[in-house]
Amino acid sequence: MAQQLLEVRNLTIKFGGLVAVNDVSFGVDAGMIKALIGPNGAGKTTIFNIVSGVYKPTLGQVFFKGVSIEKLPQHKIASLGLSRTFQNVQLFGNMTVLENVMVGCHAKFKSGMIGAVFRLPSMLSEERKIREMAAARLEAVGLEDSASLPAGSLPFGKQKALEIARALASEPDFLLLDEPAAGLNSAETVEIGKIIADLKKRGITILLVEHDMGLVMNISDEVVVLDYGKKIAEGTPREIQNNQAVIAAYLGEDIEQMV
Amino acid sequence: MKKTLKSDYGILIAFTALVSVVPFMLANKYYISVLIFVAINMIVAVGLNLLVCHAGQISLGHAGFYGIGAYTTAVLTTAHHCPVWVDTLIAVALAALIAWIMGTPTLKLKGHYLAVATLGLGIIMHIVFNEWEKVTGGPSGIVGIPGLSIFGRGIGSDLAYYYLFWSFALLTLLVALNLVKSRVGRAMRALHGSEVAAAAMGINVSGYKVKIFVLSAALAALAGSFYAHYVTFISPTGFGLSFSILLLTMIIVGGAESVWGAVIGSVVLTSLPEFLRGFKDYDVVIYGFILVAVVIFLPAGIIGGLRILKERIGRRGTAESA
Amino acid sequence: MFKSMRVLFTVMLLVGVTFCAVLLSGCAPKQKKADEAYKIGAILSITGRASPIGQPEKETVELLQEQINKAGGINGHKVEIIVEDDAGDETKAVMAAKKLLNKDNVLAVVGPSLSGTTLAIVKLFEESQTPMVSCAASVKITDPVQKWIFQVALTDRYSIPNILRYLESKGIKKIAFISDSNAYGQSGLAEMENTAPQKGFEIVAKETFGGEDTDMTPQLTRIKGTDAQAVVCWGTNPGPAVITRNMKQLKMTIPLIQSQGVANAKYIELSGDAANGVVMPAGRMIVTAQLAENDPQKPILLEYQKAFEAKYKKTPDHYGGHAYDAVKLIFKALEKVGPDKALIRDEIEKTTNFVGIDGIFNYSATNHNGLSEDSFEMVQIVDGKWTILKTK
Repeated sequence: MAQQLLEVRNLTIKFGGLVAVNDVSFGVDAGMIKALIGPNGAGKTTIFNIVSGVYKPTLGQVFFKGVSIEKLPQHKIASLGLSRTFQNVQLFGNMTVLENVMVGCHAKFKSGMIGAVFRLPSMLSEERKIREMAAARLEAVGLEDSASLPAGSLPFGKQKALEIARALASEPDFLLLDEPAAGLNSAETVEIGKIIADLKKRGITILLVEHDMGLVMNISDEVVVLDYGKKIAEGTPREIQNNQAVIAAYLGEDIEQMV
Repeated sequence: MKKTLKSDYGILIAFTALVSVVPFMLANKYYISVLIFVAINMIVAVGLNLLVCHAGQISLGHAGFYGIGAYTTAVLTTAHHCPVWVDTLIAVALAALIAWIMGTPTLKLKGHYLAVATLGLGIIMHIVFNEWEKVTGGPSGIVGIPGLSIFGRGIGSDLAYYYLFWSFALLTLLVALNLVKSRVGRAMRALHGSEVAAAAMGINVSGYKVKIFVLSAALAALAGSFYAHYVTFISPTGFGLSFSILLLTMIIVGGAESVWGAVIGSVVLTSLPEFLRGFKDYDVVIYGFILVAVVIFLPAGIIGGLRILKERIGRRGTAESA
Repeated sequence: MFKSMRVLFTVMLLVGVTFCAVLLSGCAPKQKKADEAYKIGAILSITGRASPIGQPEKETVELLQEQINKAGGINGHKVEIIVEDDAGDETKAVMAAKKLLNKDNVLAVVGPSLSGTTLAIVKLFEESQTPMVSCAASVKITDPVQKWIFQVALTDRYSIPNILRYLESKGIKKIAFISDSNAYGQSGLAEMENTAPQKGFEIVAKETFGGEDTDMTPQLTRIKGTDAQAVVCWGTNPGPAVITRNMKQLKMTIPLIQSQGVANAKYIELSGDAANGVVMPAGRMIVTAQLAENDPQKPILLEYQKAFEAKYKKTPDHYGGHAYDAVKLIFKALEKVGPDKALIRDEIEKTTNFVGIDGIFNYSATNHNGLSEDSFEMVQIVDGKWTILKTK
């Protein structure tokens, strides 16, 4: 068995009286694409937010590369090599496309205020590297022509691609993708699918939340199904498609047909 | 928005040249003293521009830090015979320390809550200046603050103050321009755009917020110390909410999209009331009218208006050549 | 990029050039006619929170300018009084002073209205050797005496002995002092603490209130619990009126003494019935009608009030009176010695027995506030009207 890059153990979180995630455990092996699916309100994005450090769990633990990270602040987790995108795109609209990706490189570099104010040689050479790295990432998602546009002015599909480029800029080992295909047309969805598959080829492990079952079943190695905050199934796409509990959770919808 | 640091440097050099020749073009000392206050206000406004316009954190309490600078200088030099410049250093350090202590809990707040918290901060400091009579002299203030000196020689003329304060103002500007176009500056602007996304990129959001808050408070205190040394008298009236609001007006009217907005804002809002003195009783009305007009017709401030103008001229230029 | 730089460069230069052009054009023509009129400056808080003080001062200054020019000016020269607004702000006062001193080259300045704005610019007048006659009341303005700085307003130094003499005549030795937490209240408290113990009085309670407070019963209740025989209140409207009403509500029967700061109609209006019986020191303007016919101030008071009412259709107050005295002192000196700042200063310092609105002025090298204890009358409010008390 491959080494587990991420492991979630007995995760529980309560908001007031509501138990949003209830005793969920699963692992993600290095190099795989794992999908987290379930009806709306099942707790998928909440798990993303716990793993990336936005929320602190009420109970349970999160291990990343064997280290317990559930108590670390968000930026520390990010600098361990865990990056993410957001369900409703969270770009820095006040900055250019290139600058967005340059911010993505933040965790990889060190220069601080003193270096910036005096424009020390070390800072300038870092700055050059950041610019080169960011430009390369933009090229990888086909946005090099839009580099100097304000990020907010891009069409939605390109914003999604930009978010992925930004998340990749820090060269993460692990990527959380929150509904990468939401709001995209079918051509754009195919495009995003290609980008994700390409990431896997480059050795990046991915945890994915997605409603587009076609995309999920095509690219995932394993799927975890959540319902009302509980894990109701885990397995390969084929196993999940035949799982009675899953079918019931989707209110009798025929998953075969959705595919 | 696309401006590179190189073009910023170009403008900065031109601006510096302008600043250095202006005194020779002015007929008398009165205008120089107006420009001295422009320089003092610019130091605060540039710091506040970084905090508000770039890092997206509102502060309604910066007059308090300005006041801490002025009062530290006043108290140290009058009651404790502290040598000049040493008092300025202590003033800046004290304001930075207070900003650091206050900033850590305060900057966790967002939007209206942060506005109210910083408002409270400013009001508390104003109350301290007013009520801590034994030290601050209470409402009647502190008289007899010594002027600045360089290498033991007192600065007598306004012209010397002009060059001294403008050197600091231009340095502040250079620091701010450098900072914005750097890893730190991008982190700052990123947390303005989206805090959660900034944190997901490995940016220590609260750390950067506190850093920039401390920097802007330190700049405010530097300006406050200069003010006290230049005017040689201070009382609490100049360090209340109305000055905090004037500072915010400077950066908004000047334009929030770039550090240059703070420059234009402090020039316009400090010198405009002086130009309008000629209108006698109507000066306040005209002043208000100009501010409202800027906000209505130039929502991105004066700098935004200039940018749009430049883009239009640029477009016409390319159309003609095509 | 080069192009954008060039465009912005041009814009910056244009802005700079216009800036300078405006500055230059603003002053060039004015210097030509410098020798025609005598120029005097005035720095007053016409707008802002102190406008109730600065506005009547400005009206008075304009009234006097009109009068003197109608009468042919001073020694054949017209008088131009350049009025600048400082909005009660010290930075603005500094800029206004720089303008008057450097651009308009005035011979002397009336004002500022407030102690803070005065203290902020004292240094500039000393440096530029220009006489200033401040309308503000802080003792600090003329103590220690500074060569070029004079003051016309009645200060606490002269009102407090009047109060103490009144209290003594009533056999009162123990007083409670309640003061506004502004510069005025603070200075009254300091002066009272200096003077009262020397004269055998005991301050048994000290309380403060904020200018915006609308209820002072907690402070008054504490005072009620002491053996104070009278309450002395130091503040400006509206706080003292609140205290007056609260004392009546608390059924406190010990006498209430107010300061000269509320010797105006507004105080009676705000206090209502509760004002009756309140005693305070005041300049003579509010009791002009009751003054003896041979009182030297009476003709001047009547003349000022008549002229002010004719021009502005309202009654003047003691703030306008300060400006009146300051302007008249400068006019008098100017008439005698002509347009020379140093001689004007010397002439003001030599002033003796100059009858003004605030009192009879006697300046000297050691006294730059020309008034004395005699400038005050102790007055009592009876049926909503001011009545002179005979204590002397």
